[in-house]
Amino acid sequence: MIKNIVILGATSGISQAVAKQMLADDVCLHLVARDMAKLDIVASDLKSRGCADVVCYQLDFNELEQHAAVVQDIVNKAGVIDTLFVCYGLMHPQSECETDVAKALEQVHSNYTSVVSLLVLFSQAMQKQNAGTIAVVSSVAGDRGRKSNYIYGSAKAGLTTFLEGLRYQLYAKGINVLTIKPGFVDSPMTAHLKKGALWTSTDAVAGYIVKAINKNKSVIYTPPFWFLIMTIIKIIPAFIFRKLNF
Amino acid sequence: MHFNFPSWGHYPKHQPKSAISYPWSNSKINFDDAPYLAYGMGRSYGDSCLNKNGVIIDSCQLNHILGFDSDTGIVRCESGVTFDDLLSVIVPKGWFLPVTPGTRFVTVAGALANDVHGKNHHRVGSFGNHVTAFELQRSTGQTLLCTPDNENKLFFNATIGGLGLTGFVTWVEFRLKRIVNSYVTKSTTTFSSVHEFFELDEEYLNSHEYSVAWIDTTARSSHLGRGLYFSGDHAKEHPVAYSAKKKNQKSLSLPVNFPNFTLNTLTVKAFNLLYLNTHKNQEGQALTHYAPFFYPLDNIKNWNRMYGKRGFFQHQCVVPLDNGKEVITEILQRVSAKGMASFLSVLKRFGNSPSVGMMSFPREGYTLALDFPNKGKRTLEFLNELDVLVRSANGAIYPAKDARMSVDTFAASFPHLDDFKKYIDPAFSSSFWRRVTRQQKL
Ligand SMILES: Cc1cc2nc3c(=O)[nH]c(=O)nc-3n(C[C@H](O)[C@H](O)[C@H](O)COP(=O)(O)OP(=O)(O)OC[C@H]3O[C@@H](n4cnc5c(N)ncnc54)[C@H](O)[C@@H]3O)c2cc1C
Ligand SMILES: NC(=O)c1ccc[n+]([C@@H]2O[C@H](COP(=O)([O-])OP(=O)(O)OC[C@H]3O[C@@H](n4cnc5c(N)ncnc54)[C@H](OP(=O)(O)O)[C@@H]3O)[C@@H](O)[C@H]2O)c1
Repeated sequence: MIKNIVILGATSGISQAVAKQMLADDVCLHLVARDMAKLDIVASDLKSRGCADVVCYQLDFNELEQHAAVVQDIVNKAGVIDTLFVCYGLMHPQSECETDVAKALEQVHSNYTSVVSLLVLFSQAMQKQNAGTIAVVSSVAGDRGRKSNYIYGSAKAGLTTFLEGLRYQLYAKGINVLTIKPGFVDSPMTAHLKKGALWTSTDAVAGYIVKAINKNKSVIYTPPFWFLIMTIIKIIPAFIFRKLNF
Repeated sequence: MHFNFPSWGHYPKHQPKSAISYPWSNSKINFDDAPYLAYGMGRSYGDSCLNKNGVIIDSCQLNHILGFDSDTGIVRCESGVTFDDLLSVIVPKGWFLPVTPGTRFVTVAGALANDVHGKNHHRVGSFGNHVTAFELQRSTGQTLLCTPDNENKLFFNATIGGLGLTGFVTWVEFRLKRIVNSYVTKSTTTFSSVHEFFELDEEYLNSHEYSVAWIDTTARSSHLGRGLYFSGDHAKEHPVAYSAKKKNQKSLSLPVNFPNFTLNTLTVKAFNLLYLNTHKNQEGQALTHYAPFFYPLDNIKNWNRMYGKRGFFQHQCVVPLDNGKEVITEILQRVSAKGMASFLSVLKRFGNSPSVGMMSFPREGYTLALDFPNKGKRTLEFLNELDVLVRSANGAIYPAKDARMSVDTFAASFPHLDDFKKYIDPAFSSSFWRRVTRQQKL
């Protein structure tokens, strides 16, 4: 039996690494992204590496009115969706968002609103299957508001909370919802930042993600040591936290 | 993106002023700065992958295989795809790299830019001989499709072995080699002097696909140049399934630089003796997975750190057959006499397939690779001495391994240098290039 894996944001660094680890000669990958020229490259790569089938769909996730049609198209083609992997997003520099309402809202729209729209649509379709996994990449940035990144962080916090609720709702339907909270990942999104010891490669993060999908986990931090870091960050009292510059 | 951009020998320690990552092979970047230099896996030893105060273009995001026809064995991949990655895809389908260097952690464009050679040079030439096409992005905005016989064929010849100076390669297409399983039949023979090597080589070279010798440079007088002759062929039968990785393969990593004193003459002597004796016991034929056969060092990550912070030099020359034997013997004599013992010394005969690159290093003759810890002036003077020997025999020094050859030695090594210069991209340069053409330092 062919397994159908749907990836929203298939051109992202993390998605590509995940797709490489999940492909197999009995897997059909349904790849969704806005830029078909990039997606073509990703699809050729996955086919060359031995994936049974790769189907591409074009969608700009910001365009909510297109969502229903594309989701329907995917559901029609796939029949049963075994895994839905959602991994896209946008990170404008915080300083720009503080002075530009449009940028601030775009950040919320891409990282939160659009994901909610897609997940509502996919959940409806997948509920009928009584099986499957919905794995979504949120971020450690949603665990606490930091002055350097709270607009992006608040969208991810919203997403994390949404996913928690969705997990409880879909539990009875046999669908597992996995929330993935990566720490610092060396990907195109962070190409401009200086890297240090806490940084992880997309391949390593993908390894944790695939394992968690296979083991029906609920929430993971990748790499796991980020759970410790965030636990500490969450208990720092506000009067100290406001003095920290990060 | 890589966090920093060293070369394998950790000498010299040149930093670029900035680095960018080439985002997608079908997109263009603005070349509004200079000088640029592409960087693959930094497995070149000296300064040919360094660009002091220039801009590095990291190819690590170009890691897609654009097409792989498992019937014909033609593969097209983006320039940053590594041989390691590629092997994991092609070996299970019954294909192997046409030519591979002694490490699989190189990119396809890195292999192209140095027109790398392997243990099968005497049969199939170097990497460039198997390249069918590639795309070259010039700083002028031009995108050139280069093949051996289209209108850009001179760019084809200039870019293969062109040290990354003709522009940025976005993808490379080449022919793979058929295999029936992932094993190699390997035979090991000891020889007790370099003269014996030459005799053995005459006997073995043409009967095996792969051949290379390891030399114990600590041996003297009648044992001068003793060592081990390894030859091999892809296994013919079907005893085992394909697998890209050897099962239960453990890898070791050197996380920090060794202190400078660790690698003294004594430890090198001990190592060489140990190496010789372990392999002596394995004399004869054996079936081995391809990984330990082709990549004996890849299991020890960052083994280059064993040379400490000051780094090390590799000296690889090729000397034409005419007086190759005498010159190689003389080099070994000097190494041994000066107690400059090299840790890993490799000797091989290149065959007569002409290289396609204007600046390709491989040419018919004996090639000897030696490495030396950086002990400053003493080492540099000694290496210059070796260059004199090599030049006197119309030999050449390999830029991929070099951090110190002189302007004259470089010019003498590459007779098509003037022709090549016409194809250099005006916005590209490297620390190596500025050094060996005596250009203004940045
Ligand atoms: C353990 C070990 C064993 C080795 N054995 C051999 C051997 O047996 N035979 C042999 O020939 N070599 C050997 N080498 C050398 C190595 O194969 C070459 O230096 C090779 O070019 C390294 O590839 P790289 O991807 O690391 O490239 P780098 O070292 O990063 O770069 C090498 C050159 O390629 C250019 N380049 C990289 N990407 C591009 C691009 N996209 N477009 C244009 N130019 C580009 C760079 O500008 C630079 O000039 C060995 C090296 C090591 C460390
Ligand atoms: N990198 C990190 O440190 C880190 C840490 C925690 C969480 N994350 C999360 O990981 C996920 C993947 O990011 P990444 O690190 O892999 O970075 P990335 O490679 O930059 O991926 C971001 C992706 O989102 C896509 N995208 C953005 N807006 C879109 C839209 N409106 N429509 C369609 N696609 C859109 C981009 O498409 P284009 O290619 O077309 O631009 C890009 O493929 C994101 O959710 C990010 O928040 C990353």
